[in-house]
Amino acid sequence: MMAQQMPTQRQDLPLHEIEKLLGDPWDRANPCSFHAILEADERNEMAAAGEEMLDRFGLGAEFVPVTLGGRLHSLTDLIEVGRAIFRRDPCLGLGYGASSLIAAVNVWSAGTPAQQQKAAALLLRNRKLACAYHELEHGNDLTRAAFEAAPQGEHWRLSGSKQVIANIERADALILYARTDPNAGSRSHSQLLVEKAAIPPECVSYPARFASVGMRGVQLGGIELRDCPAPADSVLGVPGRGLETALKAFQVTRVALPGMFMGILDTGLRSTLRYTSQRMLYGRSVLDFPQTQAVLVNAFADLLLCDCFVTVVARSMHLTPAVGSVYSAAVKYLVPKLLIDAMTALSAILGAQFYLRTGEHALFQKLLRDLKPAGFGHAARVTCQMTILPQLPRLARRAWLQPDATPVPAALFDLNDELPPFSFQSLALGAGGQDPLATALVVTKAALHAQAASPELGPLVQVFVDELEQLQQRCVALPPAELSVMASARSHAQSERYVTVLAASACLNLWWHEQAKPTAQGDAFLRDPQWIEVVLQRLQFRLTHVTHPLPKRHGAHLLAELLDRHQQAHSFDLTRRTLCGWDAPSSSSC
Amino acid sequence: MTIQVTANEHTETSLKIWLVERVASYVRLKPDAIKTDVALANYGLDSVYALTLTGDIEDYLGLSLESTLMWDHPNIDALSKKLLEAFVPA
Repeated sequence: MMAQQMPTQRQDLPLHEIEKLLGDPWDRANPCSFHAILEADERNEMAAAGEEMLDRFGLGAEFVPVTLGGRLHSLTDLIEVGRAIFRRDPCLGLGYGASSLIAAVNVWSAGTPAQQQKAAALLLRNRKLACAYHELEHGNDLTRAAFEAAPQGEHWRLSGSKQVIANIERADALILYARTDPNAGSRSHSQLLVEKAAIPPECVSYPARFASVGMRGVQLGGIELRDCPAPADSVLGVPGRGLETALKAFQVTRVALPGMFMGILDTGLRSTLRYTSQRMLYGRSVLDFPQTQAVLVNAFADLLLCDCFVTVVARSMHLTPAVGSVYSAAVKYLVPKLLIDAMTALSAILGAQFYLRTGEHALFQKLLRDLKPAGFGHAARVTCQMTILPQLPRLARRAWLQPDATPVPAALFDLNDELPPFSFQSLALGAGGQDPLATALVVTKAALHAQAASPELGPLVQVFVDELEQLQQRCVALPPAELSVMASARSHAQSERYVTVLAASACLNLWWHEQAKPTAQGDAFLRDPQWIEVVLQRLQFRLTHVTHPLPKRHGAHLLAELLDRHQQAHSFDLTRRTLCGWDAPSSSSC
Repeated sequence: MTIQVTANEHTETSLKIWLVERVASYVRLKPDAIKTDVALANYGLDSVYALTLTGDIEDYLGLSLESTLMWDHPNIDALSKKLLEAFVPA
């Protein structure tokens, strides 16, 4: 089995440094081991040694654009760094990392230069930002958020409360989502950047932490502000533009967070493989059972699937940012669901072990609990559907099955291509009837047909093109009343089917570009069609609920790759990174 | 499919009639229930919905509009006034 690094690997990506600081997670003597992380979780605390190491690494700088003195230049690199933390401990990933990122994207999108410098300076000093949007009463319905910022003379006066916010108490600054106009409508809210030091102590209180099923170490708290003064220049950008800012800026985090949460499935697979290699049942190794092998192969295929979708959409945020509203919602809708389903399937292999909070395999139950917020946190799945569904009729009219309607930059799918700088200002509220992924599906289908490359692939790809044709017929005819929150389950199903087609296009085209590369450049595993056929089979099943038959060698091929990566301590995603310092049954050096 | 009408065939009155019918079909009300000086959010035309309707208006009138047009011109009187300004004589 080829096990070389991808030539696309950026030498300056600091993953080796992170792994070196955090050390071997399987070594119980290591303060950042899984064992220590589990102990912290049992105490409902963040892993202190992990936080110290991430301070030393300066994780905050990863969230600050290069132009403001940080290291954030590409979303794919941002995701990889976050994923490395989530592989170790999802609480560190969210509670040290991602929660500051979610706050910061508001500032990079809408803040004045002075506000951006203020936020950057905090993150570069390893301080935390809290993103105070959430009110339990209103959920994802941002237009009804009640927390109020009222103009009072030269100042704003803040009143109200926010709930279940990570790091609300220990953060140095808050992004507060507040009503700045009492009227209903879409121009009635704003974000305020408020430094804790400026809040008079008598104006603020913090209710007790919300007890949660997972992410127990993360400090999920609330805040209550009473007649709290805030300086006139607290509002990010123009007052009243808060909803627009949120709907644009969170496109970035709707892609980035699912991409980071994928680290949980990586570790979940690794934990399961360690279990199967030790466990004997009925006189055999658990790994010998065909059912075990099938579950492992499917979980590995789903991880690759998720990474294709996340990577292509993250690249599209650089290359075709105007369509980000639909694609980011599609990733946030599909990827968490696939991750949760894959982990649930793996839990069956561990049997009773996955239910235990002590012992050698106790890590798994924590991973399963910590993964859950990927599904509902930071935009629930139904909210993502509500972003996609209203845009479907226009996409059907303007873009689908019209190969010339939308330009498709080849760099979307080429992992080797350098990305142009990302611009928060290029994001748009709607895709405007543009759909490069749908176009690329049809174009590549035609090229594949002409080349007759693989006998398995043609019929599989045809399933998605047929689906797009049917979607077009159904969506063109959707009446306006079926595009709102009152849409029927049947209409919601269209957005689910469309997301599946988008994911298929991302996977297919990524493989298509890999296999076309000269042998010296590409990745031998990614070039081979077997993985893409399994991945498309997984997606096809979501549409037809009938499994398209594939030869047995496909499963064996993926299983061999999976076991090889486990042996060498390589990541299971597209990048196949060496996990430096991780215990590897057949060791490799970094 | 929506029938294309060139923008300059519209008067303020015909535009308002069309907009009222369009809004009514979105929020499942009879056209005579929609008052042109009342903010459309009050009829349940939420933020995302308003973006969708703006897209419809673009396609119907063959214009290129700001996606936030209806956020900034939240009732039919304001919206039709803004649209008439956007019409360029053929």
